[in-house]
Amino acid sequence: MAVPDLIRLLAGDPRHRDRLAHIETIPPLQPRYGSLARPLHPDLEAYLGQKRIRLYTGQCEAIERIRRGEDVIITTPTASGKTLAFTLPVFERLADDPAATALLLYPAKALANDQMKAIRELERFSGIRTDAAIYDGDTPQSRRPAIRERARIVLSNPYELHQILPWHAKWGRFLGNLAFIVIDEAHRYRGVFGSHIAAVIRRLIRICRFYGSDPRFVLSTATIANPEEFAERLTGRRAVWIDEDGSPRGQKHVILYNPYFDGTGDRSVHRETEALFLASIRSGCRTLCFTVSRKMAELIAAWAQDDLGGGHADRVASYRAGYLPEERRAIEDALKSGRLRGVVATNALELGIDVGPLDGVIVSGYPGTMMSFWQQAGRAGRRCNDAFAILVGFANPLDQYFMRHPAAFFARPHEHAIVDTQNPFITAGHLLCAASELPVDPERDRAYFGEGVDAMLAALEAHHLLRKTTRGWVYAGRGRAVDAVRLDSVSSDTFRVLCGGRLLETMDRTQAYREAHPGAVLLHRGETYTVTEMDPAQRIVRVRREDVDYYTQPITETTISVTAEAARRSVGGVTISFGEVEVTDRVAGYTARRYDRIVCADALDLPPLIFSTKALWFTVPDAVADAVAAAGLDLAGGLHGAEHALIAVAPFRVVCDRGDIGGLSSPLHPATDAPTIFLYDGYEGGIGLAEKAYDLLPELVAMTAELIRDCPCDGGCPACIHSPKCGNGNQPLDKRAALALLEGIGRRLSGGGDRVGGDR
Amino acid sequence: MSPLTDRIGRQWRERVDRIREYEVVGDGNIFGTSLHDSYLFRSEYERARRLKARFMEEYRGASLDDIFDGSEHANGGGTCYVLETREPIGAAGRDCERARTAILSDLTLIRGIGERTQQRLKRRGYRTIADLARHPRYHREAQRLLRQIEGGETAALLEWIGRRHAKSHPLLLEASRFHDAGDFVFLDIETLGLFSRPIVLLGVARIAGAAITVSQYLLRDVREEEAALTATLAHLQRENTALVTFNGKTFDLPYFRERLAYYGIAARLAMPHFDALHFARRRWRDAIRSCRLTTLEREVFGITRVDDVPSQMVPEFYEAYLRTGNPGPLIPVVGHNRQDVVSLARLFLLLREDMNGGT
Repeated sequence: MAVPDLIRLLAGDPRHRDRLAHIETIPPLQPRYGSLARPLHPDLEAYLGQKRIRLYTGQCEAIERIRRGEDVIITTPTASGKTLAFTLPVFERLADDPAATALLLYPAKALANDQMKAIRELERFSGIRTDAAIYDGDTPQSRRPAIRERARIVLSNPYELHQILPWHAKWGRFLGNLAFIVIDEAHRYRGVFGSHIAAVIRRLIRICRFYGSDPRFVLSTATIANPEEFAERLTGRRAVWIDEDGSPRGQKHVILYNPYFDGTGDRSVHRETEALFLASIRSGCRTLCFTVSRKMAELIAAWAQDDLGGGHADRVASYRAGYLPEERRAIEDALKSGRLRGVVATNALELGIDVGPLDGVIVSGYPGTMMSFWQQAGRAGRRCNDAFAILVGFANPLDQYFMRHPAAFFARPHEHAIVDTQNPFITAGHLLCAASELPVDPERDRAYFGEGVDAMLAALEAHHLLRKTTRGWVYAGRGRAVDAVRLDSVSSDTFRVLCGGRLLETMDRTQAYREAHPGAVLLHRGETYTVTEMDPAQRIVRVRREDVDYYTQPITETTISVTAEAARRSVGGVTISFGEVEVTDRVAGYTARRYDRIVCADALDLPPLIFSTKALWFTVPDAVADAVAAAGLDLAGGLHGAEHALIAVAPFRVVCDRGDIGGLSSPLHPATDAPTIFLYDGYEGGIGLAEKAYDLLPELVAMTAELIRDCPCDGGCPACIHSPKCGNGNQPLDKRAALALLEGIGRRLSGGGDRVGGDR
Repeated sequence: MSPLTDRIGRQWRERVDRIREYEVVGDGNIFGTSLHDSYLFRSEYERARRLKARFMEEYRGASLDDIFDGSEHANGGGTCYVLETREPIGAAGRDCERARTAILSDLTLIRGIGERTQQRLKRRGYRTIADLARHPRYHREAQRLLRQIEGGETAALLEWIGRRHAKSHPLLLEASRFHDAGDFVFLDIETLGLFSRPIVLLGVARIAGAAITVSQYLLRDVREEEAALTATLAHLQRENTALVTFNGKTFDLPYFRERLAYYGIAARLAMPHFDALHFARRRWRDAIRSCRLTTLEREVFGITRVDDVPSQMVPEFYEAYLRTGNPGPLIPVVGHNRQDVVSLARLFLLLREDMNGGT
């Protein structure tokens, strides 16, 4: 019994015992089987019979809903038979209607390849002919026409779909008969990427309507807090949420492990991770360890190989993006067969790919979202055996919050997946694409692109990109519209970082100003480079490979002006607002630091970055501010610390990186004439984060106050109010003031209040 | 317009303007030439840019009517501008008998018959497809092909030959003899880029007697595209029409179809289509380095273009007109298109004549 041995070891050994913040034992689940109102198509019933598959309750509900023509969003966990829940009704429909077609979208090519096997099998066993095919960047030109003409199931990805849409005339048969659009792993389409995909989907529906089809949506996602809202934002239509499951699971121990329990931590979290990984392998557990970076995956595997010594060193390996497909497959197979006892991986291994049953998973550092954590933890114990998952806490606010508040962690208030369809920059780009696909008729297309469409059409015509004709607005730009729109960014104002003649990476202007200004030390794949030259006009950064023992931090001056307040509510004297703001960011200089000590500082002469985005801001009531001052605390330092910690905690409720949200605090801001904290979307036009935070502010404030209160440090540390991206070098900060402010505001917010108009 | 929407518009315009669909390579760097039509030599590029500047300067303040002797053309799709010119040309007429003979003598058109089988069959007295109509194994296919030849459906015949032979096979050219010179529609389009954007000029040429007439449908504004497409479609839908293009199987025809679909114009374009590029490649591959139309017309007919705009840069020239209203940059575009259509016609007729030499 390998797993219980390990649990006993962790609980008994004094070295581990202190670090063991919590063990949560999740009881096993027995399977629950369901039944269908009427049997499936006989060929599919035969398939299930042959494979001895009985459908779980969740699968049955999905099938019935899809049969009824409803859009559905399925949120059941990994290994619950999600794929079958939609392939069965899709095949049934395709068997009944010999013209019907289905489009299956996956976020990654590897996943489409993996799923293709399951679909081929279903096609072969059932004898229902669909000519299923993958159509993506790897599909040879010679095979494409046949797929367009014959395939009834096409597996693809959103990038490809974006490119295909202008060619719709060649897809007339497929699109005109489209019965289903299946979006697997839909939670991946959030934030900026989500806004783009939502627009691509609207372009697709618009073209389907043109060809006379009205496809249904089937979405599958990891567990999120707002499945219905998410589905509606992504597709523009209401979907029925299916969270019924029925699949069985073994007992699982989920362990929170805190190397930083004493506020200092005597070994690095990576060494602690390796120690756990070794202990697990030595207990006989087949183990997968997830790290936050590629470099750490390599390092931890190498340390473990050393420590295991000659005879056993080849029983562990690392796995990350960048390996050749055949290398990856060899590792997957070796883990599945048991030849490998342990693999240290990046999240490249997180989705889809089957590595057989594992005894345990070690997640080194909170992966940023509950969604990711549970997906990674879900890799352990796929069959009905005992399993464990360990989260190793890092020294940052969110990790430490979980280590100190296990109840909050296991209450599993999953994140809200945010898709903002209102970003005018993104919408305008897709409006151009749409106009290059079919003339845009504002009356009809308002439904897809929103109320702002008329103003946007006029602006795009003024800039010679569109022309109004009797058929509608026609694309008139010289470059191809879909080539101008990149699905993963708002701005294509990208800088190229060159080392010698080689392209090292690309980054957007904001990032380039902050991280690649002249004199900056740039980290790339664990190597340090120094910036020798930056050309803002040509968008080029030149760097030199150089080992240095210092790092640089930009000094930024940020100002915010409110351009339009869209909503406001007042609760217990705290005024909370949401609206459009203009942010001006000036990188005025930078400091070079060696171990947190400033070794030099220099000024920079870069033009200011101005962008318009969405923000939430709230004021601190006089009584609260006065109390802080009366206690001899620093109001500015308190506001600043509260702002940092709020941003750090936000990803707990809203799926994003802390870098996606910007902040500003001021003891007296001209927009409010009061002490104010702003939280804004870090992307031009906004991506819906501040909008969601406006609704969730009371919870965020309460949680942030708890975090600061329970942090064992004295005057603030990276685990609470320090921010790695602070433009002021984390000055001024006052931990006690921050706590006093947040507790004061929190009490007022939870006391209830009244709305004063401006309702959205 | 609010400052925000204006900024959005400007941002997208800058992004679209940055896209370039060709690459400028150093003179004589022929390694780039493997990518069809996507490169330009530095000297050509610089010359064309000077040309654009010169025409912009010369015709500042001029109107379209000042510089072109065209007229407004109206149809169900709206209005556009049409320029008509005519020049003498010689063309051989229809010779159905010759076409039939050539096709019938190629036994490999029948599925299952390769070069070796053909020789064996010919030795055994099966000299033509008509003879094969009696062959125990091949009679069904042979009879089908015979019926097709008698039916006079050139398009289906071309498809048949295309299934058995390369796109440049001389037999395809032979099949063009089922058509009278007056049946041919020579087409060349100028666009704002490689697909998914408007066609801005469609040059159509037809032969009547000893002259060739070129009709160029020009968009004075993007909103005239539908009318220009409609006008061109009318040429293609006339009875017995055979389309002739240069690289039109890859570019002009699919592009034209795409634009029709864009406007929701239903059209069945099933006419026979001869793509002269393939025949020219086979004919001059060894003698002439590049099979660009301008190179061919220089080497074969001794024509040197003056003030020509390279095809890849037509979008920039037309865009300069669209954005400024200055018609100057249209002059080289219209001249380029006209020369392309006429040279295409001459080249095709020459290739067709050449067959007499038994190439």
